Amino acid sequence: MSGRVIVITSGKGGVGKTTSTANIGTALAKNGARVAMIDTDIGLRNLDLLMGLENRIVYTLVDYIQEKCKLQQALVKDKKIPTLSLLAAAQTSDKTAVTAEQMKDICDKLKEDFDYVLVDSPAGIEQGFQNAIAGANEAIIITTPEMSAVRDADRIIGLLEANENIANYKLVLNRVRPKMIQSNDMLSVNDVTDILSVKLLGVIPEDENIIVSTNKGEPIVNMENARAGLAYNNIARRILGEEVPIPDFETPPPTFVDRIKNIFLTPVKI
Amino acid sequence: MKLLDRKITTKINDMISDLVATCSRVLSTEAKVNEEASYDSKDDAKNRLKLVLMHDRSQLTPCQMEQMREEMLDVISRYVEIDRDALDLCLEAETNTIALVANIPVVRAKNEEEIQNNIENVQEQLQEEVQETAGVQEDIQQEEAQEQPGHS
Repeated sequence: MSGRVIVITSGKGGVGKTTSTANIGTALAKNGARVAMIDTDIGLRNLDLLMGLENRIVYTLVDYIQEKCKLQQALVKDKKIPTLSLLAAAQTSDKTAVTAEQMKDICDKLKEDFDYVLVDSPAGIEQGFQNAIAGANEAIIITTPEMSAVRDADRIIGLLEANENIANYKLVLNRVRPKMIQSNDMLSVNDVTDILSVKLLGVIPEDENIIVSTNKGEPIVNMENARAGLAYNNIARRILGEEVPIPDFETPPPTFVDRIKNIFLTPVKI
Repeated sequence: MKLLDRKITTKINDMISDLVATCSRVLSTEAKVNEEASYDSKDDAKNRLKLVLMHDRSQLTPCQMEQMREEMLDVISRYVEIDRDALDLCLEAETNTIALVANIPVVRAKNEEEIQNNIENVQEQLQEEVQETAGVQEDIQQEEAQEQPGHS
């Protein structure tokens, strides 16, 4: 059985595509899947940094395309998880070094050996994005509850819909601040899914630990008790087919007074 | 020890802020009224986004919208007298479909004779245009016919 090729994309830059790729990939591998991650942001590669693999890269995607190495040689194994591999983007070339056909070819080859091929797309809707989606059958759209990010996500959804190869796509809402949603100063999860009319794959709460994890080159799913890490792990489980409920960010948690009120309000059975 | 201290202080801080929040909520009914009266910034974002996405999805440029408006006005004014400046043409969204909504204030209904005249005028204009383009095409054909023997 061949693997699933999932492109991770957003339109807008800086909403967390690469962070999401690193964490979903790591979480899938931790759950026992064989995972290959491809960084297609040629010239601006970063996935290697988030994975802490920047010193292990010898060959890149472009080297393979230029037949300087075999595909196996260009795949860098993760430090901890042997079933997780990274195909890094070249830092020196530009986006014209790869064509859509070549990307599709690489994805087709990788899905023979891996259960999941995650393609980290560059920002924008130009050639780099077209390359990234060329070999994919599914898509994950990353957005944040900000107007510009939601607008760009809508554009991406339009392009994905027009693409025959993408069978389904789902949304991940990143950097959600429950307190701001509760005070009606941030678009809620329902607002965003309503506006974009798209299915939700997961919600990632804003978490300062993300910065710490990037500093260390260690995906946040490897940190214990980090909120964002738990959310990414839940996303991985949903991709694997498990039913994991998405927590409710709309209603504020019960306060001390509410709890006391509840004690008096609960009917007592006699 | 220091780590433990820090954990305890953050926990205490959390508790205090939670208490302050609940107290202020219970005590200040006045603040609550004000809050309800003020417009949430989230609603602003939602409404603005809906509008901008509608235009994005329709893929009509403002210039094309204006042209469509003008052409619609021409057609409608053959049948009824309308206030051209008051015409309001906009896009509205209902769940997944986009609707084109026009609000056209009618000043006066035109009588049968006027309507007939207008239609005849338009038909004449159209015929003239057709004849003109046919004339131009003939000219081009003649020119080409003249040029060809010269080339060979």
